[in-house]
Amino acid sequence: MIELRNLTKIYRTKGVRKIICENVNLTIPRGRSLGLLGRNGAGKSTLLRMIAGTVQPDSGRIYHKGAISWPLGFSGSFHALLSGAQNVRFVARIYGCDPDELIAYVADFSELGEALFMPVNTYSSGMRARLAFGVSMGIAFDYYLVDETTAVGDVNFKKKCRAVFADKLSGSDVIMVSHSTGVLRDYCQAGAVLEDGRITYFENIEDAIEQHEANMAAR
Amino acid sequence: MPSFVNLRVIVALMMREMSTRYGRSAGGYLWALLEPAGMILILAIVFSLALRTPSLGSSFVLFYATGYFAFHFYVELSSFAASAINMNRPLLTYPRVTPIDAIIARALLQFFTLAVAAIIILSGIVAWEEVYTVYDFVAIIKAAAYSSLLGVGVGSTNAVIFAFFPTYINVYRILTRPLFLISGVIFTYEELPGVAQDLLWWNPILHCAGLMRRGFYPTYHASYVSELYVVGLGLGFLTIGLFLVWANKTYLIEQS
Repeated sequence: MIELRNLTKIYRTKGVRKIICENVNLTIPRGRSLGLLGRNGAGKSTLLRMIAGTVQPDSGRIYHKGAISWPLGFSGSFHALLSGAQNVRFVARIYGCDPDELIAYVADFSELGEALFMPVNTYSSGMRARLAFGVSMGIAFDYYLVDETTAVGDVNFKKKCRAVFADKLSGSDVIMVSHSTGVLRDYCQAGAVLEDGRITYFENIEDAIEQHEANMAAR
Repeated sequence: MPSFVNLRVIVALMMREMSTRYGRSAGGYLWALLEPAGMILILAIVFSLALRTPSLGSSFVLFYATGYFAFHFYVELSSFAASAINMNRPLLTYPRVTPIDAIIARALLQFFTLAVAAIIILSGIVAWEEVYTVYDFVAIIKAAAYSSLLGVGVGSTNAVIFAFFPTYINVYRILTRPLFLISGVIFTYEELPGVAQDLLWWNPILHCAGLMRRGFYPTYHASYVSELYVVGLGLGFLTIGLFLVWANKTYLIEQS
């Protein structure tokens, strides 16, 4: 379970206040993957990073039980000068897993082949995505935070991710940010809509998508 | 509070840095050795042409090496600590990796690198110059440790100030340029005129240089050295620096 209590986060840049969330209370129950919707710039990614713990709220707290992954996106978390394998090794070390086992898992999952031993700055965005998903799925988390702000990866790879979540990680939940309603329907049962600093929770992802589309039509 | 996880993260960061920093450039770790060795050699040659004997003992190389290393630990650690967050930015997206871990890991790695370089160069000089002396190892270790402590303290404070005021980086560089000349690398405190003594006493690195030379020259006492002042100042900077880093964690991770 993840609980947001009285969560407030406001960015101020050059006198302009940008409200991400204001006095938000939300309980994300275990066992139902959550799709997070909202217009561009509403603060979905920031919210995800607050849940992960890399961004601190201005006030309020986040309580959680269970291990939460880092926000899994398609760029960012890899060191460009290190090879894919060295990056995996680093992650294994900080999460206390066996580095060689994790590298073997990632090699198998990502199908990067020789490229796994090349510096990450030579990778295409699709290759980075494979690496990112491979590493995080090789570590058992209770919650996977997925920030799919840009859709990368071919159809086959998406199918593979879907299969791993359905099979190996059936006991884990996903909290996903995506603009693709198709992907959200695939992964998530519940939904939440972030609009003007408020979050509305929906038991059913379909209701959340409907609300989101109504919001988009209204403005 | 520091925990087992922090320790694991710090070790992981050190190992990742070892595989990139020197591994990529030709010569590798040799540069960590060649840079101070070259500097010391230049100082020794230039001043041996101008002076008959060094301020202490008979070996020019040893005199400048002791002063240079006392100074070098500070300079290197302050610059490595200040750039630690930028260097590890992508890795800070892992919630387990905090900016403080990045600073500690980078400072520790640089300290060990410098310590190895110092041991090799100083023992090389002692063997080459056939210096017969009674070492005060405690003073030598203290000199390196205090200089490093000051470096990490100033570096971590700067890491935050640089992030908020990028222009300050240039101001800081200009202000600290004369530091080499006033830190006792090329002179001893006792040689200075009274006014300069009163003023430069407040330069903590001058105390580190005194300690270092006390360790190599049994007859040199460097009685002006106040360990309390150096350690107090170092711990003060470190406390302020780590507090600032901790308090601005989100900003430091997010700024690009």
